[in-house]
Amino acid sequence: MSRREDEFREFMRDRASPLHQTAYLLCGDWHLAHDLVQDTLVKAYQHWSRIRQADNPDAYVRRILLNEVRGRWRRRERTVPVARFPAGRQPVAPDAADEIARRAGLRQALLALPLRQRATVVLRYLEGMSERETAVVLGCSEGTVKSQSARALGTLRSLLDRTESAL
Amino acid sequence: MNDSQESQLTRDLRELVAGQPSTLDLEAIWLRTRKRHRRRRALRCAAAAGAVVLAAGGFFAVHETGGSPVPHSGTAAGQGGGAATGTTAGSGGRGSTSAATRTETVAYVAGKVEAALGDVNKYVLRDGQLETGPNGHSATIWTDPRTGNAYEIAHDSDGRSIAWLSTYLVKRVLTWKTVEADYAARTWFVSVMHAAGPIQGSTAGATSTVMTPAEIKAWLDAGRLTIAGHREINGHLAIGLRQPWARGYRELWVDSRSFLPLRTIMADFADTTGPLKNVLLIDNETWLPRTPSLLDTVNHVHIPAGFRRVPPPQ
Repeated sequence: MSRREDEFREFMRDRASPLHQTAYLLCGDWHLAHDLVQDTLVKAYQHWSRIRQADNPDAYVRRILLNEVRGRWRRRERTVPVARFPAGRQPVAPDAADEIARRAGLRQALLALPLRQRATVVLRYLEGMSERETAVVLGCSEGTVKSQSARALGTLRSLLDRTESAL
Repeated sequence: MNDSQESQLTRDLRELVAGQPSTLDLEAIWLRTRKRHRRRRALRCAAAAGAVVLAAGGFFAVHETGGSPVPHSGTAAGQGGGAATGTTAGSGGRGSTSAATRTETVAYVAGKVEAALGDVNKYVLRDGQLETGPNGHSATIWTDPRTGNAYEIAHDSDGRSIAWLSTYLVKRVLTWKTVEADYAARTWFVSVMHAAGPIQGSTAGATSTVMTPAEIKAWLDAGRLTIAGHREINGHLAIGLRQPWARGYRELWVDSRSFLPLRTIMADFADTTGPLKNVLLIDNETWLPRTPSLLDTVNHVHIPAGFRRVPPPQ
């Protein structure tokens, strides 16, 4: 096996799982996320000679993943279920199931965000990327990351408040 | 959201993905990756072969006569797209109209530039910079790629100045030190500035005062490039790559033999309220041998005699 192949396989071993997780939060379905990661890695391998020399190969590959998600979203995945958030306030006493419900609500709320805002949240808060790093992956300015992030958090807060009120 | 809510969001997202059903079958992905890669490579070879046939028929050919390159334009499907888009007669002799000697795709040129930029530490870069527009200026900047230090002679509306510029990191915080001598006032000053916060992630290339190989490489990798054409720049036959922006473009012209940058052009038409508001920043690059005197000039401050030290401007 060539050195190029060795390096790529090592990259795959290290990064496939985090990519899978990111893809899941972006599309909301583990199986679809699996396909997206496969397609991403196929493309990454085609450009591996360039990617391996980049300052941040991971950012490059994440951008490919994001483009894959975007492509799917445009083509046929518009039917990803989006939560219906009850508007009425129905206070009930919290119990152990609240945590699970809250996370389920978070997943739904995340899917309700526009893709770019969703990606911003995932990169910033799951991956722990800085605004600068996020901007590199998204191919936009840091200012755009800030504004997208603020909007996304505002929407999430609003949706989650409604979810929690309904619990 | 406040900080604690953001921390909670991070924890919740991690919990969400902790339910990852199973690990990926990496071996299967690898086999599929290789299979698809081979198939795409075969298609690319076929496409390139087709383009060479077109070029031989003169469709995209560039003929260079009497040392006066004829500009040509080509298009590219994007980096790595593989579609051959332009050809050049290379170093064809005077009056030669011989057939193209090689096919130059964006991917080919980008690859060559990246390789050439891996070797820049052998040189000192001289950059003749000219900015048009309302705040236009001109400057010549010599940069030592090994130290990142630069020496600049600038001409603007206030007259001539010289400056030594150092950019370095202090605990990951970018720090800029400028020692500048003003010939109009016959004064000099030292200014040290720090970035607002530490750099997150890689610091590679952060201290460079010119477009670094890494930045150029990132630019090449970003795609959306086309072959801008061929022209003579400072006695070298150059090939250009162009990247359009929403309101402007950037071009990189490289020596068609060494593939080192000769000229970069950044055109920004963002402010188009008046006919003269467009800004064009042109950098003419020359790669010079690392002579002791040049290295001394770039890396050591030599304040002209009789100049008075003053506080840095606020």
